[in-house]
Amino acid sequence: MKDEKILVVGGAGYIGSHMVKDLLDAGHDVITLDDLSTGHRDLLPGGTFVEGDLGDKDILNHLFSTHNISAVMHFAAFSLVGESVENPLKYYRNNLAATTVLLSEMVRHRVKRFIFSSTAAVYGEPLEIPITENHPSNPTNPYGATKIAVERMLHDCDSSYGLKYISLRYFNASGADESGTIGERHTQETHLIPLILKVATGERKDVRIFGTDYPTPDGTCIRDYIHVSDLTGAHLLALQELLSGGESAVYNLGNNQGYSVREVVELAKKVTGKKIPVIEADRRPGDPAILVASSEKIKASLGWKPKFENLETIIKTAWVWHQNEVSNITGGKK
Amino acid sequence: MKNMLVTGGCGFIGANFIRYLLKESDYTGHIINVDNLTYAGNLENLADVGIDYPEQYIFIKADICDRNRIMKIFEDYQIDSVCHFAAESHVDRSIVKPDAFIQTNIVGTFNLLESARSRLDHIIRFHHISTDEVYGSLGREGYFTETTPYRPNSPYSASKASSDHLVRAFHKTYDLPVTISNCSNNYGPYQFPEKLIPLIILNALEGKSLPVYGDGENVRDWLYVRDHCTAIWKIMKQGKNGDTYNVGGDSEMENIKLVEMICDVLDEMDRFPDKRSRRNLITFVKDRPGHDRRYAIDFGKLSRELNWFPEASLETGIRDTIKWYMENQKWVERVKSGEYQNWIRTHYA
Repeated sequence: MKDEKILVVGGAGYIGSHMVKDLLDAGHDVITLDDLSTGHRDLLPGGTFVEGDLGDKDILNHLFSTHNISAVMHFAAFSLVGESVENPLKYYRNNLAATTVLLSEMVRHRVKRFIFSSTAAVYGEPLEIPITENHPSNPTNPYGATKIAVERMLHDCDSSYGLKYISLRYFNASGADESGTIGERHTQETHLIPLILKVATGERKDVRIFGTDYPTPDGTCIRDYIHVSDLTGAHLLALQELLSGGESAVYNLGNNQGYSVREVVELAKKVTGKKIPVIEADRRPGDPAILVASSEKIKASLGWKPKFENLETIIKTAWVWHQNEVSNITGGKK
Repeated sequence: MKNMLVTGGCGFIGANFIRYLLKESDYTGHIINVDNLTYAGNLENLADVGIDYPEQYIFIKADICDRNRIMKIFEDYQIDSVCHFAAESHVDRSIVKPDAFIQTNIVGTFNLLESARSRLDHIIRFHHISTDEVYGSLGREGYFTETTPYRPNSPYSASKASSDHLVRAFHKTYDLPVTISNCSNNYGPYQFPEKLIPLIILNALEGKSLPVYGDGENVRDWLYVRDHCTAIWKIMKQGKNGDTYNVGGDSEMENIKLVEMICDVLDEMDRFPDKRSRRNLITFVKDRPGHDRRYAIDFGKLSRELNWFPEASLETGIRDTIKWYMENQKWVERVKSGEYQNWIRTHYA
C-alpha cells in the first residue's frame, strides 16, 4: 500500500542507523523511535524521528494509530554483557518488559510483522563449532537471557496472534557503512575493534586482552566478525520475506570464520599502520572461548550472501569512520 | 454487535457518539475509529477516551477513499457493524470547492459499502449518517418526513443524497442490513468553530462582530448533539432493516432570533464591563448562494416506532453549549490556531 512505513525501534544506534540508511536507499518510508539513551540523533540518516522510550504505550499507540506501519524492526536494547551481570533488572526491564509493551501495541493495532535483533549470546558456552540454529540455548549472562526470552515471546505471539517474526542472531557486528558517514559510536565502548582503533587514533593508550589462557591456538578468544552492512542486508531480505507473506524463522548471522583477539590486533596494525600496545588481563566471567556461526540456513532460505567476508576489509571501513569521527570532534566539518 | 467501525469518529458528532456509546450506553463491544484527521477531525476530542477505554477503543488514521486500507481494517478487526459519520459537511466549503465532497461523501461511502459487502455474512448493521438537506428547502410551513422527495440544492447536499441512494441500493440489491438517519442541524460540545452556534458564541465572548447571512430570517431546526447520539444508537439496535429515520430536536428558530438569544444568555452569564448588549455586534453579511430558506424535521416515525424523544430544548441546549465553550477555551484555542484560521480569513472577511 502506498503509504506504508517501516518502524525502526532503536534506529539512532549503531546497527539501527545503518538499517535506516539502507531502508531509505531501498525506497522505504522509515520512522525511527529512539530514546537516545545510547543512540545519537546525528547518526540518523533520514526519515521521521520520534524521540521516545520503546516501552512507552502512549507513544506507541499514537505511532501505530497515525501511521500505516507494515513492519517493525527492533534494534533497541541494552547490550553490555558485563553491565547485565551487574544490573540484570535494568536489562530485563528495557530488553524484555519494554518489548512486551511494544508487541502488545502491535497486536492491538494488527501490525503483524516483526524483525528482531538477537544474539549469539543466546547459545551460552557452545557445545559444537560452528554453531547452528539448532544448538540449544543456554545463555550465561542476563543480556543473553533477555534476548532468548523475547524470542520465546515471539514464538508464542506467532502461535496465538499470527504475528510473524524473523529473529536474527548476530555474531560480532563490526565495520561501518562504506560512505564513512555513519558508524559505531558508544559512549562506553566495549567492542574490540573500536577500542583498538581508538588506540590507533591516539584517544586511548592501549587495548586489553581479556584472557590469554583459553583453549585456542594463541590462547585468546575467537570470534566471528560480520560487517554491519551485511547484517542490514540480511534484515532487508527478512523484511521482503515477511512482507510477501513468509513464515517466522530464526537465523544466525556470521561469516563462518573465527579470528582470535591477537589476530584482530595484528590486522588492525596492518590497516592503520600504527602501533597498538596490548595489555594482557584476566578472563572476563562469561566469555566463551570460541563463537563461530554457521549461516547456512539463511543463505539457503533467503539467499543471503555477505559482501565483506574478509576481516581486514571490515576493519578498513571502521577505520575510515573512526578517523572521520576524530576530525569531526576536533573541529572538522561539524 | 461486537466490533463496530465508526468512521469520522474524531469529528464533532462522531466523537460525541463514541463518548456516548462508551460512557453511557449499553454497548459493550469494541469501537474502531477510522478518521483521516482532516480539518474538522481532532484527536483531542477523544484523548481521554483512549486512556480510559484502552481495551474497547482504538484509533486508526486512514482515508475511507483508500479501498485497500479499509478492506484490511474490516478483515483485521472482524468488523460486524458500521456507523458512518465521515464526510465533508460544511456547505460553504462545498460551494467554494466541491471536489472533496464528491470523493469523501460519495466514493468514500461506496468503499465502505463494498468492504461491508465483502463480509456480508458477518455484518449485523451498517448505519449511514445523513442530513435533512437532501430534502431541499421548505417554505414557511410543512416539515420534512421520510417520504419527502429528495431535492438537494448544494454540492454538499447533493453528495449526501448520492450516498444515501448508494446505501439504499446496497440493501435492495445485496441485502446489506442498513439503516439511514437524516438529521437537522446539530449543535453542542466539540462542534468545530466554523459552524454558526460556536462561531457566534466565540465571537460574542471576544466582542467581535457576529455575521448573519442575508436578512437573518432563514430558519433552522436545532438538534442537541447528545440527543442525536441516543437516536442513532436506538436506530442501530432496533431500527427496521433498510429503513430511513428522520431525527430532529423540535427547535425551529430564525437565525437572527437564535443569535439574539445567544447574545442575551451571554450578557446574563458574562456581562461586558461597560454593560453594552452583545446584540450590538450583530452584522448582516452577504447571503450564501442558493441559501435554503427553512429546514424543519418531523421525527414522528422515530417517536412512534422506536419511542425516541429529544431531551434537550434550545434553552437548555444553548446554555449547556455556551458553558462548554467557556470551560474549554484551551480546546478552542488549539483548534483555532490550526488550519481553520485560513478558512475564516478567506470566507468571512
